Amino acid sequence: MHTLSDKITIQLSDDTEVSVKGYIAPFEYDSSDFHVEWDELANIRVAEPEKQYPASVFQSFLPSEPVSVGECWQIQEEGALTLLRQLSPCPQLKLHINSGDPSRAMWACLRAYNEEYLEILFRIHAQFVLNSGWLTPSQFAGHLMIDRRQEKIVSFKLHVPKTTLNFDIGWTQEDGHAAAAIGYCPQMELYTDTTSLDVEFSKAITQEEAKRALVSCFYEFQRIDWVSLEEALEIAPAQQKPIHVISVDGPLFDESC
Amino acid sequence: MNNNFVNTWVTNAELGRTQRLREPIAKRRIREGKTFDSSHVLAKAIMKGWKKGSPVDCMVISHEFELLGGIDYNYFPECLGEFEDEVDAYIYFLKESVAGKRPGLANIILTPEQPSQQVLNISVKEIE
Repeated sequence: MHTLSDKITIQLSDDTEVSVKGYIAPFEYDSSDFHVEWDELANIRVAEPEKQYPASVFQSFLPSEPVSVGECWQIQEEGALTLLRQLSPCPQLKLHINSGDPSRAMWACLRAYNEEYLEILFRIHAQFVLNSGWLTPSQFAGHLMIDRRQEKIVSFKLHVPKTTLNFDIGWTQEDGHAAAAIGYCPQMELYTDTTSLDVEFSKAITQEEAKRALVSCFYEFQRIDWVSLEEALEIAPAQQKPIHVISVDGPLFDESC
Repeated sequence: MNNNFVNTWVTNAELGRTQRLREPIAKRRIREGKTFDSSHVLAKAIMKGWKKGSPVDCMVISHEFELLGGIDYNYFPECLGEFEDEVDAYIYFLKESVAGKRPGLANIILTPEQPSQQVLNISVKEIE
């Protein structure tokens, strides 16, 4: 463990294994009923319900340089794709829609640490290629808790958040016609079966601050202060300001549309 | 943007625009004990500004919740005229909206006192 001012070096010991469980729940709804009519989507299941990984796979999530709380860095492709294959065999970072440089599709942020533990939050934009289409989650969000003294993973979770709509779905039908829909899957996740720790960190930012730092790595328009409809309803008359509105098929800050 | 506007976004599905998603989303909200109020004046102003079949609508609405401008982003920027730069076009859209030029909206204003107007041979009527 090395400390340089507020920056810390994050390390993992290579001599351990990590058991990761995976789960995909059936889709609940989508805008074109693909989850009913398209067998491949209707029957989608996790590729491997449980798998052992060497800790080295998680090295991809660590920064190569010392970092301070709130600092973001890019996740390396190899380890992240290895883990995503547990969910579905063909993950890729290049999305079917042109959403920017795929080499910048995965970011992590040091949220908190103390002498014993540290927590990293991360966000990944990726999609799964299916036999006759694709599945693009809104995002994979997650966290990694590390025991700093033993240099071991305490807990890991990667999941698609349960927003109202959280998947872009593309189905290439037998006649070659490709159609897209937006839908909701209540659970798609990878996780270690570990009990959560109640840790008091000495240096930390909130979960929301870390998530905001991560989303800023993906979308330049995050620099705009976006508020909810309800907040706009109150703020606009109070400040006598006009309201700039985007009404959109899918959420503005993810890849589900 | 932060100095001159209150900025907000909403999914069309939350406002019930996507027919096939209305029922499952409503059921899920009940199941999870969540609510989404789409009956207030701002939501109604947004719905009024939707262009037919548009996946993304950009709008400017006054602090009194009157629609000042609205475009279907699929037809941006050509729906506003000829522009070499999309940022310039969007700034034009925002400025024209605030100036009361109603960019992207029909060149008629419907009011309770005058709920319909004749434009050439097309009758446009406000629907509540």
